[in-house]
Amino acid sequence: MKSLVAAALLLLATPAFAEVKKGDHFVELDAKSATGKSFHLKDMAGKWVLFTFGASWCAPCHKELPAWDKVAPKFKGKVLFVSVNINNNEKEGKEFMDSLKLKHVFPVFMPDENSPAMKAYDPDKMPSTFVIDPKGTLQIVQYGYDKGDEDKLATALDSLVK
Amino acid sequence: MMFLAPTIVFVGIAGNHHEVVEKQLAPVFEKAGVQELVIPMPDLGQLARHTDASKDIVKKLHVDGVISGALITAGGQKTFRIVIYDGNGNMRSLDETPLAGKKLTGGDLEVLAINLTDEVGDLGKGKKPAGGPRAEALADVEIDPPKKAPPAIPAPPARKAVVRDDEEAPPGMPAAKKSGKSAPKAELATPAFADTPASETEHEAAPKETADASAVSMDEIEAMTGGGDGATIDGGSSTATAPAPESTLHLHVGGGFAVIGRVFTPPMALNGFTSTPVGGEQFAADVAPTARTSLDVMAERTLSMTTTLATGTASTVVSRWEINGGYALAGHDGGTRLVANLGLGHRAFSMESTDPSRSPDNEYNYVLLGARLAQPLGDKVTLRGEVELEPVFGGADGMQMTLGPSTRWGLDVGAALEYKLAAHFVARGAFDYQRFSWSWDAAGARAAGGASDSYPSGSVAVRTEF
Repeated sequence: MKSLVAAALLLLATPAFAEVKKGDHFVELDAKSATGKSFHLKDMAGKWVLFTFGASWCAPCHKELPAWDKVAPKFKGKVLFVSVNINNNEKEGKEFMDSLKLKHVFPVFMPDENSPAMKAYDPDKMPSTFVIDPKGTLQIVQYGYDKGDEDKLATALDSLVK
Repeated sequence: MMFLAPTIVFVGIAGNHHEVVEKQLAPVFEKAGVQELVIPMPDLGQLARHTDASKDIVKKLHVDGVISGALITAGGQKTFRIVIYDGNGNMRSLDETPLAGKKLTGGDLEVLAINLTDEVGDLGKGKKPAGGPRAEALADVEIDPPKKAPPAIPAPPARKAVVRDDEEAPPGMPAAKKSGKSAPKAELATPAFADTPASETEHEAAPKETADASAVSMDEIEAMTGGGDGATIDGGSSTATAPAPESTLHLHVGGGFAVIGRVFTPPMALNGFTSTPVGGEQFAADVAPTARTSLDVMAERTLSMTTTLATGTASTVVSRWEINGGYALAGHDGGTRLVANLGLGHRAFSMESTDPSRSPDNEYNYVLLGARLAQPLGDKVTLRGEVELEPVFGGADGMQMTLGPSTRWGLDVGAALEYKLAAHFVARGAFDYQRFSWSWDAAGARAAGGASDSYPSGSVAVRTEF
């Protein structure tokens, strides 16, 4: 009986999330830049935007973000590359972003635990990368990162952006 | 003082299909003296991914150690992550073991058992004396979890760092073990997960900026992500960062076919010149060292042009070159682009003839002062327009002998339509009209009304972009 109660409670406590998927309209982020300015995807309308959720505790993110940083110049003027750091400890997040010394990926910060937007994106696999077109439609949704993924993504972007 | 055996609790495994692994681990936990404890799923998610909330969650359990797990799926491969905390909420280890199907192999179970025995032994060294709130807290959590106040915003489920088998943990990260057999225990001894008080770190000393209510603009992002040499985007310092000038070099080179005409209307009895447009060649290139700045050169000349005179046919050439520096006043981040430009140019008309009735040669060295506008029309088409004032400062004056020194200045208007053919190729069709006006202060009635020298032209060209 005790187990049944516990199981029922677990089900009740498990939040239900509807993950965004390719073809969906983007869900606005509630992120801020390093200087405290609000960052809104809607303000990027008219451009392709690649944004990737990452955190210092996510080992693959340490490789993924520098990889995007190498790819980004190829799409200068066409695609904005944004890193959405979800460290709950913003200081850790900022230190992590600093340590990567990125030149072409713009960092914004959106602590996981206080973010309604995270419920929509629900990137339960990290890192997770989303690309929206100039009209705000999600065109690429990619979970995880493996060496060489940046080349595949660049090819995909090339075909979309041209 | 009486001491109890260390209380190490296993709080469950986040992720789908965790029952199989939990069942496999049950005897291992039993043998290691680990108790099972049910906690709310959001808390389990926080523990499994070691968030900032982990510490408080562990502390509220008032135990000597907490073991949490998660099942991660990446590229079709399921991996079991096990995260162990001490009683103070400090993470002791994080291991990841690939599953065979939906379960751990016998070997992996053995390694986990060894690791757990070690961990439990280590955690036990810090066990707490009997008494205190531990028993009560355990009872509260296990029997009546709903009384725990739910968070204002439900915590998201566990986020899994997808670690693939061929990856090495980067510097500053704990080694996420791929196979328990090769590394029985991955100890956490790096600052990445360390619970260092904020005040003890260098970063805390950095000046803070008051949060700005305004939003980040596309302009700022493009400027900051230009990636100048040595310039990195400031993600950590809270001081305001001036947008770094973009420095990625862009180069366009193109060539094409032009048709060039001329209409020269001199005063008095001098002979004018009117030609139908004739074919010519055109070359243009520009380089944009930053998002705002550009330098472009162009040159054109007629290919085969002749003029019929009383004494025969004379070979004739109309040519022009220009070098222009531009600075984007607006639109350097995309959209409508307005560029102010300043440059030098040279226009020449020459005829190989000594016929006294011929129209005079003329040459203009001029300064360009103008503006250019570029308006994207969709993804592939761009409409361009330009207007330039062109004061003439030199060049052979074919009417000086007759009318004396003149004042000359030009006006140039142009429009172009560009179409992106492919990733690096743009087709361009353009029309240009350049007109030079002459006036003479000292020539009196002989030069009343001045003179004009016009060069209409059209061109089609293909440009490559790098």
